Amino acid sequence: MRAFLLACVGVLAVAFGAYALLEGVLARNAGTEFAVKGSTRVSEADKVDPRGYLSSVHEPAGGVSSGRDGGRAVGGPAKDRGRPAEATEGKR
Amino acid sequence: MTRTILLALLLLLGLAAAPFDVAPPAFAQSSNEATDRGVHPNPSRNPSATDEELMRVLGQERLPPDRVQGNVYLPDRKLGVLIQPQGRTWRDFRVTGTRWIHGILLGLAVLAVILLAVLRGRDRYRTDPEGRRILRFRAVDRFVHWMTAVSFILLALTGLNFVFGRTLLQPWMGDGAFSAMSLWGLSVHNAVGFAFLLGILAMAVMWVQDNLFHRVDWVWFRSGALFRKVHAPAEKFNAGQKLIYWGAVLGGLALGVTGVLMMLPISTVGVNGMQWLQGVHTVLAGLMIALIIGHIYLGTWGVEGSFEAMSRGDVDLHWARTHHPLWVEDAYGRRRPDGRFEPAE
Amino acid sequence: MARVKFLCDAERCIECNACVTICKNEHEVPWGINRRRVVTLRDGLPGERSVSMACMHCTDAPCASVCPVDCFLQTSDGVVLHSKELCIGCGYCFYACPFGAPQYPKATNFSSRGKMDKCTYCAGGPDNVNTPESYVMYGRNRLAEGKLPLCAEVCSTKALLAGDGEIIATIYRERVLRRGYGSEAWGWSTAYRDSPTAVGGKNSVFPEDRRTESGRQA
Repeated sequence: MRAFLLACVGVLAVAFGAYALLEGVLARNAGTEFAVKGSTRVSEADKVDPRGYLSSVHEPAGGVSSGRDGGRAVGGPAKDRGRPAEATEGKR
Repeated sequence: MTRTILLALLLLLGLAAAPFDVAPPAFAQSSNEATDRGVHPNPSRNPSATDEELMRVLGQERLPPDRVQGNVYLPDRKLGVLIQPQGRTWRDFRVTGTRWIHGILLGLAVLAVILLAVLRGRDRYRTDPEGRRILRFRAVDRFVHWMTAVSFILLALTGLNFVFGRTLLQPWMGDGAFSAMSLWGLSVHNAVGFAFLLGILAMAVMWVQDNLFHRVDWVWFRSGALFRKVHAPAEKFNAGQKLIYWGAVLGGLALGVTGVLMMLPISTVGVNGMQWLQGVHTVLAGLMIALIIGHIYLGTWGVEGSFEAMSRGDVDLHWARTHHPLWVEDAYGRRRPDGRFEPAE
Repeated sequence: MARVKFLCDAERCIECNACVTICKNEHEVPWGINRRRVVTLRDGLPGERSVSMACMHCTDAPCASVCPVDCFLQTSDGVVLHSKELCIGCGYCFYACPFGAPQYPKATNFSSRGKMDKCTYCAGGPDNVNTPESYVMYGRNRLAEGKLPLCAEVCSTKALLAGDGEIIATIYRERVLRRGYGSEAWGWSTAYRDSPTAVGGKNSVFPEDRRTESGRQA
């Protein structure tokens, strides 16, 4: 009988302890979890790699100004990231 | 002069005969009020669909086969998911599948218990005339068992509230009371889950040695001791009990793991991960509840004398020799023909 | 009675996020929650499209049918609302919603995710009032004043349309006739399948005249 009563106390103790730990310490508020950190709103790594500053006006494969990037249809050459001006000027 | 006039007439005739078209026919326009309001289809652009085709495609638009995800300029990255079609499947599972699965499992469990009670009756034994008893479960064993059991009852009730509460309880409890109770139930479910997990882990460690399957267990199964009133050889736990042990430990661990994962932020596993976790959790829970219903029946009324093992800790010696003879032999040594025990060493 | 809907014309959306900003500002949406968001598909690539997405106020709303405490209701205009008093923050509506409209003030779920918040079609809460208390909970109730959702009103290119479903469908059709059929009206027929649902029971907290098409039956 004593084992049963002690067990009930144990359940309550563990349950309260877990609740206090999780809600008190480990709970994550959406406001702080998804808040803007620092000055960048969106990390560069999350974005799809564009081909350059005016990538939206580039022709799809086979258009007049395609071939600029060596024939890759999407994304552009990986090495060009960060230096788009040089890439376009070099091949124009 | 006459030739010029003739040529001019010919020209006029030619012009008159040629078909007149103000604009090239683009497509049929089904409504005139659009034209009245000044909407004219642009003939120089080649439209990729007629009006009817557009309406048909819009009406038939189906959910994409997989989720569509893009970029969103907000810190909460999970908002980048535009459409997730798996939600529809999960919705049907949650609304229809869950209720059927739980209903059938619970119904089968209760039916099995009733059939066992009616057809097989209570499993009785002759008590030891000298009143000798043998220790079966130590205090720590009983503590762990009851901690797990009490947790399980609380978890099962609060969990079943998620499945059946809206249809069975809410209509007569009223919205406010039912919502308050469900909110309390959710908190209890999430907190007590850790007590349950601790108990299961303790059981997994403490009793695993006694629950390993040996050859004698196949004999027990073949003898049909589950259904008929025969007492086949058994160790500390008979083969049926070992099955329940493994079901409870493995199922309980899986329930605990899925439960804890569901408490993490959605972006940890993604919405599809959450759907999968909830599905596994609810199906396993249904199976476990059915299993424990059988266990409770056998441990209380079904097998006379077995409840003492978990409440007092010791059992009648004859009960032990009837149900777990190999265990008694191990604990007390061989039994001589005259009924006395030889020492184990 | 008019059945109101949203339609975002992906050919016109320029990802200016005006709808996102004005919604957040007008309703003082809780921190970390964005009722409306603009999703850009194929960002930076040919064929880039942006779609403004929030609650679509579906016919036969999946959120309403999976809720364990049945806290949703659908008005006679078709707007899907929910009661923050009844909500227990379990997260099921988010799992079911194809568009990811429900949002929660807490990222973790240790006892509850907090009261769910989502686009209300600028119709406030289920009791259709315009009080300061209701504003704090649900945001502004423009529909009660006869106004349409602010996100569509402020859209810079009129990509986001809101209002009577038949009217905005006609507008969209005229646009497509003009320019050709390019991208789909995202989520249109996913959201607006015809499916009547039952009327609520007598123990409901929702006012009687607001309960016509209701998700009060699973």
